[in-house]
Amino acid sequence: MTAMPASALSDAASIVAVGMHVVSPADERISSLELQLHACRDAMRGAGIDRTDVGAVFTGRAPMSYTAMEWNMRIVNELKIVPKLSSEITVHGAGVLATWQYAAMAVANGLVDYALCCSGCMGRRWVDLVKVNAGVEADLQFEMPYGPTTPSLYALWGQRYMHEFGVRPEDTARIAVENRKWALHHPDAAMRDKGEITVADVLASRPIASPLRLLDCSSWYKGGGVGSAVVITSTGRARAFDRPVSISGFGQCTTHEWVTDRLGLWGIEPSIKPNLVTTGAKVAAADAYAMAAIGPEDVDLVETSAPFTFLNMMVLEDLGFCEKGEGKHFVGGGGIDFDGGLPFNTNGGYLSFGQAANGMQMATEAVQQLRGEAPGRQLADPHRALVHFHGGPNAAHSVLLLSNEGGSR
Amino acid sequence: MTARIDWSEGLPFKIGPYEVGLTETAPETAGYWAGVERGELMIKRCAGCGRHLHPRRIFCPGCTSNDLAWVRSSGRGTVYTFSTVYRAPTEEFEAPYTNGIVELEEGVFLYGRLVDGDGAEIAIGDPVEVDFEAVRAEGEVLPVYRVR
Repeated sequence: MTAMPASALSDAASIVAVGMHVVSPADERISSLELQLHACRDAMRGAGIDRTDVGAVFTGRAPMSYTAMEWNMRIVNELKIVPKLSSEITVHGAGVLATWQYAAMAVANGLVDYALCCSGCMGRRWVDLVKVNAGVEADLQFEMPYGPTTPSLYALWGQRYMHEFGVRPEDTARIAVENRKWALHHPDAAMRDKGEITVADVLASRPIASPLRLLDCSSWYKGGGVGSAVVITSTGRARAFDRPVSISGFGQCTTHEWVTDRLGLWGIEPSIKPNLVTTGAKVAAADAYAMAAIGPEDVDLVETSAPFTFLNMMVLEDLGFCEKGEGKHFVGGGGIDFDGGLPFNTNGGYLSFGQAANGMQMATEAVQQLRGEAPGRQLADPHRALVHFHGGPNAAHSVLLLSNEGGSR
Repeated sequence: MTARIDWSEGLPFKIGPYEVGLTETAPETAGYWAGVERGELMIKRCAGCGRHLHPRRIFCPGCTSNDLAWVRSSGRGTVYTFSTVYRAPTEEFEAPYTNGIVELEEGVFLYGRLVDGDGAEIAIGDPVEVDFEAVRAEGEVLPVYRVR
C-alpha cells in the first residue's frame, strides 16, 4: 500500500472553537498555567465539549515564566482529561502553530474526535526577558559568553539580508508603520493607544542592536499576557458547528538550533549554499500550498509571528508574495499597506499587538477574521488566510492555510 | 515550615542545572577550549572527506565519518555579518559592543566579538584575525576577531 498523499489532509480538520484570555498590566498577576487554563476552558465551552471528549492535547513549549519539563502534562493534570495523544511540540515558537498540525493529523485520521491545543505566557510579568531570553536562543558555549541579546541574534540575519539586497532602514520601517495602523483598531493591542507612527519615527527611535532600532522590534505584551486555545475536530464533525474554519494546508521546516550553525548547513533547502537570507518558511509554505493546491495569489490575509521589521519583509518573500530580494519593492509599492494592500498582521502583529510570548494570538486572529469575529478590524468577506509562525532566531517555521469554505469542498 | 518563594522580582533563569552564560565544556569541545588557553583557534577537520567543521561537530554530516581531528585555524577570515549591541543583557556587558559571525579561511563560521583595530566602522567583508581577550570584567579569555 502506498502512503496517503498529503493532499488527503487538506480541509480534513477544522477549528470549531477559540479560547483567548487576555491579562492587561492593570489586572492581577496570575501564573502562565492559569492563563492557559482560562483559554482551554473557554475553548472547550465554546465547542460545547467536556473533559471526557478531549482525545488529544498538544501544547507549545513550557512558558519562560513557568519552566517545567513536559508542559502538556501540566495541562492534562489540571484539566483532568485523559488524552490518547498528548505532547509538547518543541520547535520554538513554530511549535505553537505546529500543535494545530498534529491535531489535524489526529482528527483527520480518526484517531480521536477532538483535539485541544493551547499556548500562552505571562513572561514579562515574572521574569526579565531582556536578561534571559537569549539563553534559549543562543549557543551557551560558543555564543552566550559574548553577551548576545535576542534582537542582536536576529539582527545578524537583518544585517546580511539588507547588505545583500540593498535594503535600507527606511524600507523596512514601513512595516512598523503599517502594522501600527491595524493595532489602533484592536481592543487588546499593546500599542492601541499609542497613535500612528511614521518612517521618521522609526528611524529616530533609539538603537537596540544594529540595524534594529526600538520601533523595528516587537513590543512585549505590555506586562501582561495572552493565553490561547483552540478545539479542532474532523471537518465532517465540524459541519454541526457554527462557522468552522478548516485547515487547507500546512508545512513545517526546522533548520538549526543556533544562528551560527545555520551557516554550517549546506546542500539542502533552504540552505543549498549557506545563507542568512532565506528561511525555512520557504519550505514550509511550499508544502502548505501544495497540500491545499493553491498559491499565494489565493490568500486574502496573512498573519506572521515575525518580531522585527526586516524579518517581516524576508518572510513575505519566503511565503511567495514576491521574489527573494523584491520585498523592498513589494512593501515600498504599498503591498501591505493598511489602505488597499494585502491585509498583513491584522491585529497589529508582533510589532504593535505585542509579543505575548509563545501566544498563538496571530493564528486565532486569522480564525476570528474568517469567522467574522474581528470587530473594528473585520475584513470584508475573507476566505483564505495564511498564518506563519517561527521560533529561535529563524530556527523553525510553521505555515498554516485556513479557509472558511473548506466544509463545502 | 519552608520558606516562601519570593516571586516579586522573578526568579533567576537556569536551564537544568546550568546557569545561562557559562562556557561549559563538553568532551567533544574540550579541544577548542584547551586551544583558547594556549592562544590557538582550533576547529575540526574530517579525515574522511577533508571538510573543515565547527568545533561542536561530533561526526561529519557530509560523509558520516567519525574520524574528526583538531586542527589549528589560520585565525584569519572575513566578517560575514554582525550586530552592534546597544542594550546589553546584563550589567556585566558594557554596551555598545559588536558581535558577529566570521567566515574563516577554512570555510568554518564562528560567532564572536568583533574588535575594531583602528576605530573605523566595521562592515561585512572586512578581513579579520583572531585575538584572545576577556570581553567582560573578570570574564574568561575568549577568541575575538580584530579587523585587520
